[in-house]
Amino acid sequence: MTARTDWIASVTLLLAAITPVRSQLPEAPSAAASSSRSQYVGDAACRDCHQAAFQNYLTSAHHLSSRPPDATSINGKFTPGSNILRTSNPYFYFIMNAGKEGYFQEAVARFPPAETISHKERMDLVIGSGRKGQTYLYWKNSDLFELPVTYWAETGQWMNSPGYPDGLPNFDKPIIPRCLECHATYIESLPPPLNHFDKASVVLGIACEKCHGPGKTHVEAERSHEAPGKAGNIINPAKLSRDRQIDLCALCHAGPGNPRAPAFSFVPGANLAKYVAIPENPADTPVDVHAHQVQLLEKSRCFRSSNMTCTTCHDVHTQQRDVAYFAGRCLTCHKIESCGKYPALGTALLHKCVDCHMPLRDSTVIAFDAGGHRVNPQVRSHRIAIY
Amino acid sequence: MIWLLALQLSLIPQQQHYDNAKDALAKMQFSRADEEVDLALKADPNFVAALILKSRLALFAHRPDIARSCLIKAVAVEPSSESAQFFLGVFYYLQNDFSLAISPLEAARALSLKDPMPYFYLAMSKEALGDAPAALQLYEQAAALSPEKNPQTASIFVAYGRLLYSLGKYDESLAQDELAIAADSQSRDAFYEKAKGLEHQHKYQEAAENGERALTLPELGTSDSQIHFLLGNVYLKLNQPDLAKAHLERFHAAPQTTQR
Repeated sequence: MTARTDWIASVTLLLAAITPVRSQLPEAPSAAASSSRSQYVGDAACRDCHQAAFQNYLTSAHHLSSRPPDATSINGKFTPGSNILRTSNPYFYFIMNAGKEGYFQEAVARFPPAETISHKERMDLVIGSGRKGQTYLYWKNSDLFELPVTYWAETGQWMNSPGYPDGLPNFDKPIIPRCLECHATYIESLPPPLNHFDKASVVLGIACEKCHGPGKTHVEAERSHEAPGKAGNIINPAKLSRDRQIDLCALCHAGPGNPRAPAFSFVPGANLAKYVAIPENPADTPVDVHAHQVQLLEKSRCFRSSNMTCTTCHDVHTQQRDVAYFAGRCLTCHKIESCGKYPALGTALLHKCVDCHMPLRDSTVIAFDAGGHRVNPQVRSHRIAIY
Repeated sequence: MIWLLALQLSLIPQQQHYDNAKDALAKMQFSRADEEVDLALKADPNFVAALILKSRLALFAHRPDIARSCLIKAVAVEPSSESAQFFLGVFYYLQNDFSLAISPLEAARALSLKDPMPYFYLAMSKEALGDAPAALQLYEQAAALSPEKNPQTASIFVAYGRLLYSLGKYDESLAQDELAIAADSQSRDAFYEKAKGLEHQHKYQEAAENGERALTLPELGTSDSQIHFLLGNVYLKLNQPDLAKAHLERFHAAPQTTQR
């Protein structure tokens, strides 16, 4: 065998070794091909062919996870009297105003006896569907920062943004790409600082392409007269392996992790471990309920003893707020009669599975300072268990 | 000559840091303002303007101990500084040490006879000490020295009117409240005081309107719960029990602290 035939044999063997891996991920494009803004077409391009899914999706928390500010996207009130956040500092308050030039947060400090200073920034991006709350971001040229006042749905009022000390203004908290990775589909980072972005590149919301991958090739193929109607060039997450499906959700529902690759380089179907290292949590280690749904689910017997994935219970194309619906998902595997409470409560338990076995728990990583108190929001635990 | 130049150059750093601190404060960058003013004072521990600025930052950050020591030092370094004397007086007034406030405020007034603010704080201190005649005279002088229409002038009229109200001079009190509103149409205190005066004159509908207006204004001073209490009582007298109940409930819901 010559050196040349040796080389050809090696390459053939190598290709043979790679092929099975690729065949597990038949639809996954390479990261290099899909991580540029030009590959994204936006939700509107999906509407014509996927109308039913698209209409439902418009109300989902994923779609609403980041939006431009307008009268409908900002849940906080701007009416006089309701637009003020007083703080524990008697010399300091925030006022929120809406006008022709936009929506603003203004910090006002009074220095005795009569000096008043203030600082005002425009709300440029709305983060959060509003179900629990909303936080707002502003651009200073191409740098993105968090604003100090958040809307909190539980009280229907303005509140200090999570982690912000009560009674002091702070307009300097930068938004890093990993934060935005879970609140937007795409944005292009510019050279440091880390909160330096190309504004025009942003694809807001957790859009179709976050889970299906960049859609340019797919849309172009479908719109061409050559091969319309033939699904392809797009990822269908339902056809991914269980691990890759979980990875897709874990990008944002397993905590921030430790980035191993630039934010927004992950593509559906890829192995998340190459992009973000998610710390392993031993069985007895407490895991916060906020944004750690995957770790909590993985601690559940339901998960360990079945092939369930996130989509066993969740339909990400629509808004899901009804815990009774989720109880129905439990009953596809379990019988109500096997519940220990059944003898006492009978069919009254029918819609209660989630209330008891996935209870609401205080998050310890998200906390608000409000009126001298620390407020921890409640999030549903995804550790399915007998509590 | 060289010695003088060297002296001028050595003055640059602390002045630069002080200017940076003022600039940071104007941008509400409190941490940077703190750092810069500390650097200015490190370069010159007797820099009076920096001492005053540091005291004001400390007061804003609930550190009266630091504010007090800075102002006492500023007055000791430069007794003829009207600002140092005035801010020390204001500091004592804000700490309810009214007797201690009098001396530095008197000194500030003597150093700047046309500035209404020492008169104003002297008036409030005298009022707090129970010397109403002296307070009335000082309020009048402060008002006379404040022709401008601005929040500062409004606060003088409000305080003056409040004293007149407590002395039973209700018409005169209302007149001061009107002047306060004319000076600053966003003065929550002025609308609240006016509502109180109107309630006393049994003009309940007008009192309610002024109270509701006060609730919409952000200005610090009169608390929401004070206004809710007033409005609760006014609506009871207007025979509007639902509105009265709503306001009294919000009054009761307010934190049970000394600063309701």
